[in-house]
Amino acid sequence: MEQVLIKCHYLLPPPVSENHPLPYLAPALDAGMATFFAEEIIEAIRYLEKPDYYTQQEEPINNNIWLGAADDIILRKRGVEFVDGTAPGFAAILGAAPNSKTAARIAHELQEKNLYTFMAAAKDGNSFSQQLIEEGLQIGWPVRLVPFGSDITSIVFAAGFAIRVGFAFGGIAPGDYKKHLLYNKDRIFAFVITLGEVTEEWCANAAGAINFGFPIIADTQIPEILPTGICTYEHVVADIPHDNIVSKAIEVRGLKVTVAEIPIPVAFGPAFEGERVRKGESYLEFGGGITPMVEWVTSKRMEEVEDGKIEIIGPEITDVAEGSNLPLAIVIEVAGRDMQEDYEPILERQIHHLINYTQGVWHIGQRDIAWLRITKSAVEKGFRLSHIGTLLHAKLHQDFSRIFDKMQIKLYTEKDKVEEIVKKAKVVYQVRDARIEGMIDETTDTYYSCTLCQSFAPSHVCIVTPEKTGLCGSYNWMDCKAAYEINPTGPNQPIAKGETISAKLGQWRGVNEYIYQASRGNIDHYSMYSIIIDPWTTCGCCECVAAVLPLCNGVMIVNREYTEMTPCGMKFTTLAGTIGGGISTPGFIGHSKYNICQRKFISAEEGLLRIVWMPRSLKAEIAGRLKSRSEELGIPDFPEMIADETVGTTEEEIFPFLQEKNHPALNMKPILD
Amino acid sequence: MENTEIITARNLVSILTEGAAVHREQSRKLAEILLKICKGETQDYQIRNRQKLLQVAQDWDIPIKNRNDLEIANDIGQTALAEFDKENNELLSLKKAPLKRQELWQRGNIKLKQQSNTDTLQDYRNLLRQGAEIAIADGWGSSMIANDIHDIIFNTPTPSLEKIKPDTPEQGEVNYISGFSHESIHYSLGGSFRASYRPLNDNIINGRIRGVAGVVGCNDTPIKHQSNYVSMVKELIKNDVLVLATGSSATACAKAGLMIPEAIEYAGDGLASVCEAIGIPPVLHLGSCIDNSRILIIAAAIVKEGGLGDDISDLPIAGAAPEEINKEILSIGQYFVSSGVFTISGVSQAALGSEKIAEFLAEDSRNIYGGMWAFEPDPTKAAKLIINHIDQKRKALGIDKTRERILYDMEMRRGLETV
Repeated sequence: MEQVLIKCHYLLPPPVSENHPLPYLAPALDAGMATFFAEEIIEAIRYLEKPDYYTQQEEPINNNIWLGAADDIILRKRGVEFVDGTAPGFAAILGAAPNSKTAARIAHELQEKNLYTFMAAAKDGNSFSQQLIEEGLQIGWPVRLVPFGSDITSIVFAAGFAIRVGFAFGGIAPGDYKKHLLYNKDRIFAFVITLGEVTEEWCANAAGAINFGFPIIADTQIPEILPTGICTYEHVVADIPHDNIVSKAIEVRGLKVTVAEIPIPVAFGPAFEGERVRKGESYLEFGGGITPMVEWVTSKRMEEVEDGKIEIIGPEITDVAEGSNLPLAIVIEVAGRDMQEDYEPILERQIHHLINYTQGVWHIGQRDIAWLRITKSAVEKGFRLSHIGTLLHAKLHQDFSRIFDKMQIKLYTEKDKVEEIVKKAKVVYQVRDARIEGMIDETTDTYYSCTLCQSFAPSHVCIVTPEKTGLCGSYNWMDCKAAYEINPTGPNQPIAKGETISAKLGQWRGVNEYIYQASRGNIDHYSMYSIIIDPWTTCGCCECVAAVLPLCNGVMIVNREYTEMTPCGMKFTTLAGTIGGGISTPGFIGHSKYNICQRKFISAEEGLLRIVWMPRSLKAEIAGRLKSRSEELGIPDFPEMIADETVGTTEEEIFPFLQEKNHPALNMKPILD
Repeated sequence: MENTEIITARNLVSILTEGAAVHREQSRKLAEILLKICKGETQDYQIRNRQKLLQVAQDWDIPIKNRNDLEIANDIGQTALAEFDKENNELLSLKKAPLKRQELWQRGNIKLKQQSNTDTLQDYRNLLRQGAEIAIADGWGSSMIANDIHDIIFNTPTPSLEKIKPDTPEQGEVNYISGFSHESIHYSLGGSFRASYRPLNDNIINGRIRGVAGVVGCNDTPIKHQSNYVSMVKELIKNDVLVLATGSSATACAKAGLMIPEAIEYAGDGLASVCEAIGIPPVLHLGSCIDNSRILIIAAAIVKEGGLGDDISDLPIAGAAPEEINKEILSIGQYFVSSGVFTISGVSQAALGSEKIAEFLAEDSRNIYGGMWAFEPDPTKAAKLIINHIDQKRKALGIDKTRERILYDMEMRRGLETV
């Protein structure tokens, strides 16, 4: 800390003289960085002295609205949204709007543009965050309105978030300040909005933000800095009316946000996905174990589908009393020259998040275990069941129009009809699952790339095969195939795997050539089936990290949500930080949860049976598939042989357990041979 | 048989060679002082800029690991002295030029070693080319080495507020801000954490700054018509051309009050807005005669930053040597030209005494080096010529029209290269 303070002191320039000043921009920028360093120290001390000052959760609790900095789980979870583009950037808001209505309007506009809003600095006892609460808005990470703290110093959490995205996803080393700041300028589309009088302290923070390439947009008259260079465009723009402060900020930052116009009476967008709907707020409810509910996408012949037709078969919202439960079947019928049965589950999987994007509507689950609540406020604003059809039709057309031509949607709310559809759909689900399970790498000539996260990890390339999903868990082979059909020049490209270099390691000439080109020359080959020999590269978005445990002759797996120490001596954060950023690290790979039970998972090192440790929660999450894969391998009780944190968190602690269970890895040839 | 061209060319080259020799001796002297410091033979000087010491060592491939400053400095001194005996195109500092320029020079014979008898050259073109190469060896050799070692011993110039006595005693002292250099410009444009030429390049590209002109001068040269140079500089800044001035030109601008931030009142709106943001005057004081090679470093840094072509000759920049022809000015002006810079002289073409020579210095030079001499004694006309030249370069770069603001979506961000 002392070192940092000495550095801060050194960075602080003398005051600028009135007459004939010496060049002041550079010293001001330095002072801005010193401000951030000092604020980080202030906030760190606050954490130590008042551990309960911030909730340190995703949401306010017990009248404490201030959350403090994003922890690593939040960072990675939310960071992925920055990487895949669901969140194009963030706004840091200082101060308070002249009234709470204006605050709510600005926040709502930022939400509709899918941006995160980081809030700090109260003004005369009032803050933007409190104004939103006054207006009855939900705030917290799930709805992208994040109240950091009431002091100006807490705005450093926004800078911290940005820097950590560079660590986690950009693979930029600590201390490489120039790269970090340029990464932020080029890739983190953030900006600062100041509301109210800009104090000297705010100015100092603004200067800090400019170092990151984040411009300042003020609602008051302050000196403007229009020439470009440190930021992509203007640095400080002043006196902007509240009505267009958000659109001005986006333009100044050089950000393009495309927002779908969905003709429904409530707001719609990913910022509303995390909205919470309590039972008491709900007007009516479907599924959730009380009534049957099912979602099913099925292909039809062209003449059977009338595009845009939405039918409600049974009662509408207006026909039932508040507090009702209804059965529901959402049946989406599609037709098109390029439509394939394989695309049905892909379209079907969109239903969950698309319905959740709707303000005042809450959805979980899928297929025949879906659950839906519609709030009183949504119904008051005029939201009806038919609007579910409207939004699904509009969004699916917008995102997937290359794979289908026509779509009609039927919403059944009559019990017998719903049950009939559940029966039909279940047969289809089974057939689909069997087909996907049956696909193997050997009989597939075309794999797919995924470079979706190159916006943040420019040299990382995922190769997705039928037996290896993308390591973020979002994309399987079929998804990539569909994504390619939808956008032939997009981040998912077909790769002819070509001549086999090693069937055991999973290396093919075509794949390696692609990797070389798509990693911009950084990586010229990797293995798809080995954790030891030239394993695949990892970006910061991986759901899990697997690491070799030499003493146990096996492999441990830790998932992002598990924050404690693991037997390899590193926590998930450190692991992901060490191996992320698009490099190949023998002994370590990032991977998805689903990948663990796929047959080719580290098959060069004898696959699943090498796993000696994973957190209890992860084991529970993948229990079903883990069990069936274990049975397939002829060791049905294998899941019980895998140690977890209750057994130990060092190799020495878990080794006796593995011996006692006669874990198969102990009898395999040495993993590091 | 000797003709007018040969005589004129030999005369010019001989003046130029004398000018280059002045810088060479200054450079050698500085290298010797550095060696004396290392040997403990002087108490008058010391190493004051360790950062520069390490930078020069890195530039010259001198190892720094596990070595103390004096050991490194000793190698720098020895390496510098060795430069004076090198044969063609081996000068270390040539590597600081843009790659394309280095390739262009490959065909020549650039060295600091005294040329053999030039009397044997019987073609004025060859004579003038030899002169051009002697000038390159000055700008990218002697003068550059001198500046590097100067900075190690005396520190790199940084802006500070100075006072100067005007020509007429009635006027009070005039303030000016002295001490710009590549390093201090680099820092001024982004601070310790974001230092780069990006803001300069960006604002040249977006047209706030139309271009950059180096108005060169030398020490203690009696300047006639001093007000002429000031009116040229004023015309340039009014037209959004950022001016870098040295020597007596700088003195003239300082006396005219053009070297304080408040002088943006004389500048065009675009240039003024950039100067105001950074806190710099529209005319920057780059130092003395030998410091002119710092302008070459700045030009190379602008090329390297990107977006304005890949050689100095692509940049919307110009040089002006408004003084009468004298030995140092001739060498400096010529190394500008040989580096690809359009450079305007304050003497009339007629003063050269040979049309063929004038043609070589203009057209032929442009074909060979991408830079050329132009001759115009009228300051306003000279400024216009510079602005015209800058506009032509802007056009060639495709930055003569207003550009639409680019808004980035995710696909465009994925396409970005690694930083």
